[in-house]
Amino acid sequence: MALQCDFLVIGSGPAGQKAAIQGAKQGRSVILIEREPEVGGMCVHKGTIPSKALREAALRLQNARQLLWASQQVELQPLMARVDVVITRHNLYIREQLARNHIRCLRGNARFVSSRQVEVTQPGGQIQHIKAGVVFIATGSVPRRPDQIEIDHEHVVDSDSILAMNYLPASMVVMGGGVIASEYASVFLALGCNVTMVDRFERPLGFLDEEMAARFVLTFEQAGGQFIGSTQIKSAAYNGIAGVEIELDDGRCLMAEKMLVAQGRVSNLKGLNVDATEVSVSGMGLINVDSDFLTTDPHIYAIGDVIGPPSLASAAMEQGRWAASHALGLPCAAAQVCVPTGIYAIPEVSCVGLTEREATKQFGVPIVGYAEFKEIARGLISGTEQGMLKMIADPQGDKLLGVHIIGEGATELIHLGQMALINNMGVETFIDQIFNFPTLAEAYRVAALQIRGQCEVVHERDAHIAMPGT
Amino acid sequence: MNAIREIALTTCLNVSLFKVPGYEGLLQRYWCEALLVSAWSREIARMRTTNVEASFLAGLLCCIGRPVVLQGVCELGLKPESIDTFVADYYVRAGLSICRSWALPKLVSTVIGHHQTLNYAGEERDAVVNVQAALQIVSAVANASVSDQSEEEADTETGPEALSAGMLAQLSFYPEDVQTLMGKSVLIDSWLKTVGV
Repeated sequence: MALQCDFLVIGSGPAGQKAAIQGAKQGRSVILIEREPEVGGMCVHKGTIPSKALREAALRLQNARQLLWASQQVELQPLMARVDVVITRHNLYIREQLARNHIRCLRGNARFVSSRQVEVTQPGGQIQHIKAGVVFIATGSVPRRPDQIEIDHEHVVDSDSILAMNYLPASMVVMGGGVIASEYASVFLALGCNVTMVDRFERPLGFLDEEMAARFVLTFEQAGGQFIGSTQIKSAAYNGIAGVEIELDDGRCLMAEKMLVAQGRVSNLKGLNVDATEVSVSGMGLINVDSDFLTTDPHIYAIGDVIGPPSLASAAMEQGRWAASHALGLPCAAAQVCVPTGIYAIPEVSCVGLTEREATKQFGVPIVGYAEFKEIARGLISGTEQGMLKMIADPQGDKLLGVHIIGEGATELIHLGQMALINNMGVETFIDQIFNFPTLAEAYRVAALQIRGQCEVVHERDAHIAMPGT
Repeated sequence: MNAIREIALTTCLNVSLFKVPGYEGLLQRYWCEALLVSAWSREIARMRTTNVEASFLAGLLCCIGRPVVLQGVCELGLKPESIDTFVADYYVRAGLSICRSWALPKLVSTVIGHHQTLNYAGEERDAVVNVQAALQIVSAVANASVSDQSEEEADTETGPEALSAGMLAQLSFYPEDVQTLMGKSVLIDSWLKTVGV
């Protein structure tokens, strides 16, 4: 006999959780399906949470080394044990939250029978049918696999298997230049591994403001890493003895103990049988949705990585809440046009608003202010001297258009800029206010002052042109 | 981990050093089973994206106590009624004793101590579960082989039923995953041939 519910959520990652909770809080009966033994999705078990926990450990280690002028070898296992503790605690928190909201969790693989009926196969093969008023697809994504390289999860790993390593390799080649590639490359470098990044583009993190990407490469290379841009990996395979042999398209060969393939992620629709519904899928394999995350099937929403970029846990959560609110007929929050991006590399990179190139295109040549962390007292105290804040204003120097930060604390510090952008605050706001001293927030003031300084020069020049006799 | 690998390989490669007159066939069977368990553990680990090397080594060493017990039987001149039962009764203790005297890493002692413990939830749970699943498959293969011999059939392929429902839940394997795993038997056979079995 089929189970019945108002909301059926497939996938318990950030998007699925929030959709389920939003529905349950409004008194709807909710069933949440998860194929893994634990809820939380890849975010908790293989992605965001464990990689950030490892990053934190690597960062502390790096700081300790700087402080003690020491360079001890690192054992990866104790660090991974710490990651395990974080995952377990986070998992417990999610379980409690779901239980508190009376959400029924079922384990299994979901497969659409029709728009409102789903068949769930449990690991042993037992089948359960569920009929629902509304279905939310939140099945996330899986690592993209290049055709020319076999990922054996032993010598050649991907972002799902890299954290299964229990010793630190002496060397690693990272294939890719996106967020995942840059994060792991810099974290393993900080742990003491010899890391080379290879990417087909000229520089990594191509969506970032160019100066930020350039600063990331500079910091990475100063720390001992190597970035090989505009190059493709032709082949890579374990040689059976010493490591992975990697052949580049320019004829060069690299050798590394491990290789990480990080070429982005693709939406996970495996086994869902969306053909049994009216859901349409794009040529890229992404589920098509409207601005309320409703698919082309009026009973089915799709949220999170399964619909493609921005592929951020933060955005996925909001999409889950939004879609559930829409299904409930509740008003949705204002459109999210000011979502910050956080890259948990070492150092962190974060940005909100327009890049310099985008600002130039939309408003004309912008006025840009910089604050180097080495000139900020807190930056010196914290040893984050390579950091930088870049503030972008309109050509008049009044309107704030974007903020870009590289350096420790960037992902926290960015929210000050985000609030200013959301509330249409001008650059002057940062000059008029008093910030705690010493803090990195002072960088906002320094950058804003630099913008004002440039404006004064422009005003003086304009005044001089207007009154040539004076 | 490199150290464990060396120890494991040395131990296994030196299996011929065991002097077990009258039990050479049994010793050879233990050696083959150890290799099979390690190979299946490795493939299971790949599919679960857990540590492949650790699972391989854990599979190789989980029953390392068996040849040791056999050696003891020969050295002490014991005449157990059933050698299989005798070995089964003592091999875990013997294995743990080796771990202590050789100061082997926790992974090895945990897998030796818990490869028969269902729902083990300690730190090394991934390796333990992978080895347990591999042991189930190897046992199913052996049983199928025996039954095939009795029925004079050549086909010794193992089906999805090689893994219990409880084990599938622990592995988080669905019918299609089991199908994929069972498809690895060709790869494993070929690997066994490369290592001379």
